[in-house]
Amino acid sequence: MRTILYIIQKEFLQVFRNKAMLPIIFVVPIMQLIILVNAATYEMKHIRVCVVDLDLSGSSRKLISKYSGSPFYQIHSSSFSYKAAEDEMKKGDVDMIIQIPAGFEKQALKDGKAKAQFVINAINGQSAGLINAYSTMILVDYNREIVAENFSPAMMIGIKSISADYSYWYNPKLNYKTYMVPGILVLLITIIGLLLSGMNIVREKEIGTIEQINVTPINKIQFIAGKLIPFWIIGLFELAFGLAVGKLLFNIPMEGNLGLVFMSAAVYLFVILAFGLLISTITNTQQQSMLVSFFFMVVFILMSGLFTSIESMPQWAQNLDRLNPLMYFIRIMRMVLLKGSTFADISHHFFALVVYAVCVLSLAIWRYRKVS
Amino acid sequence: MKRFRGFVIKEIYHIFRDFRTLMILFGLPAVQLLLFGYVLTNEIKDAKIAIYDPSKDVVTRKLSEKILSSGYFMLEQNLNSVAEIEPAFRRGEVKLALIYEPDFAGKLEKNGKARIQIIADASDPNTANMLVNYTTGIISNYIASMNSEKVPAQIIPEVRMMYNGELKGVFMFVPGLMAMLLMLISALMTSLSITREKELGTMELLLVSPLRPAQIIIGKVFPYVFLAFIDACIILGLGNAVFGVPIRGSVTLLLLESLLYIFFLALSIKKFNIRLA
Repeated sequence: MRTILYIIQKEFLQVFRNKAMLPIIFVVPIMQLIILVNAATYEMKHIRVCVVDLDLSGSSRKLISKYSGSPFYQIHSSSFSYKAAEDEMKKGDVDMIIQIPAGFEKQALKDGKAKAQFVINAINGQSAGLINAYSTMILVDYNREIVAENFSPAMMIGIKSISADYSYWYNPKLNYKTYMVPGILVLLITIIGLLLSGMNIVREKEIGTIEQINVTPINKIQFIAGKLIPFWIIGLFELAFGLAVGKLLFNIPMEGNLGLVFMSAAVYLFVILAFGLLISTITNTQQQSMLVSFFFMVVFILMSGLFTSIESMPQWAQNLDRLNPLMYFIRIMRMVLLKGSTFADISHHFFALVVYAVCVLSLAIWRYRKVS
Repeated sequence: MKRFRGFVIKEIYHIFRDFRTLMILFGLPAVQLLLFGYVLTNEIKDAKIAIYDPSKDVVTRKLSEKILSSGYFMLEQNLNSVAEIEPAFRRGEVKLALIYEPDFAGKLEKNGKARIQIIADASDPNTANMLVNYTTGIISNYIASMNSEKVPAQIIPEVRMMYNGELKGVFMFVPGLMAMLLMLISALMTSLSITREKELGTMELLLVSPLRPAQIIIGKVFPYVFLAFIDACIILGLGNAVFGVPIRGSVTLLLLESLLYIFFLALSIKKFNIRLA
């Protein structure tokens, strides 16, 4: 036990006496949290619209005013040529073009039906889908108004209607940031944990100090424990720090039990750190270790459901995702923090992490050899 | 010039004799591109929903069937009471709950009006928003088909998705992956290669060699720029061949831009690094 304490002390000294390390551990993650949360938002505000109104009638103006009145839209420009509008979209100045053909009002009055064209920049598929949804909603609203204006209650008899009320639970204002903060916190402690532990043993190998450790009576388990525990403490501290910043800056809800969050984080960090150590034992240089860690990290992050939803992935990918520790922890964080899930609700994910931790840790211990 | 060539060759040996790094350099972009091209989508498919239907009549059954057959939704459970919604949400089993009012068809027939409540788990706001939109869309379509003859004046939207008609995630992803991987290779790898020389102590040897600083820097950067450029071509080629990501503009312009980007990254990190030393 005393041996482990000495290794831990040595590791802490090494971390804190490295001038570059302290900012990496404490300043960089907070900056990333602030920047990423604000940047990685899919929230749609100020959709820039170019209006091509070829009808210039009362109806078309009213339709356009519906859009300019919505907080989601911003009329960026108007033009009488579709070509010019499309050029603007090509330059990336507008996100959407609304084109109203000539004779729009006449047709609406004569046939009871008229068409308006929405051209949406769909390079980003997700935001295009959202823009489409918003635009249709406004149009539905507009149609309802026309009906109310043109039809007397007597004419409405015989028309059936189903009113659909909707409510958004847990996040009635659809604030995207509260959704992103827990996920990005997971991302940050993952990056720190994996990189620090992944580079650690390799660094000793490169400098040659691993030889010194190899000739000491320290055994495998003591060595691994001594390497893991300092980063484990740093990781947990990082999470607490990040949660405090999230609460203060973004006012994220904390519906559930914080103890549950930290309990899961403790297990999760073991998975990540052991993973880093494993990488560290199979690589020889920091360069290799960095690349291997990055490879796994990118795969883990993108498949974790942080940016895209897991449910929409193909079935084989969802099965593969069971091997992704990030997926479990991001789910736990979101469920506990945002929805107030209890241990019974997350137990499945939690035990998956426990099994994962045991497996990776034993693999790392088995792989580590005290020979050079 | 000869010295410089020798230095570049030394760097190239460094890279090519480290087989693992090389594998990663070329395997990484290919694997990631293929994986994510097939996996990452933003479209919503088979979202799990729960339905509470106390009236169980022809209309509610037909409407539920319409909603479930749209391809967006999948029935996860039939609820027996409204109180079951909250636990289902908390376990993360369902994303949306539909609640019909009792005696739905009767009220629709008698009063011409009936109500549905849609409750979405908005802890994921965007998905919730889209799901609600899809559902209301299906419901209003259903209403329209019920009233087919009596429909009043209507504006029909004609939506065109520019540049990416099927809203494929890959289109967004390939250029992003390219920028990210190039940054990884040119910034990280070059800076690590210098750190390594410092840690091994071979930096001293370079410092006392007749090579000028500029030659060292350019010599260090050159092989990585070359590799990164090949990677850029692989990503573009794979994206185009496998996923049909279009290159609508000029290819030359794109390649020149990426070359500029790689150079900038490699050099900026380098400068920072040398100053630290």
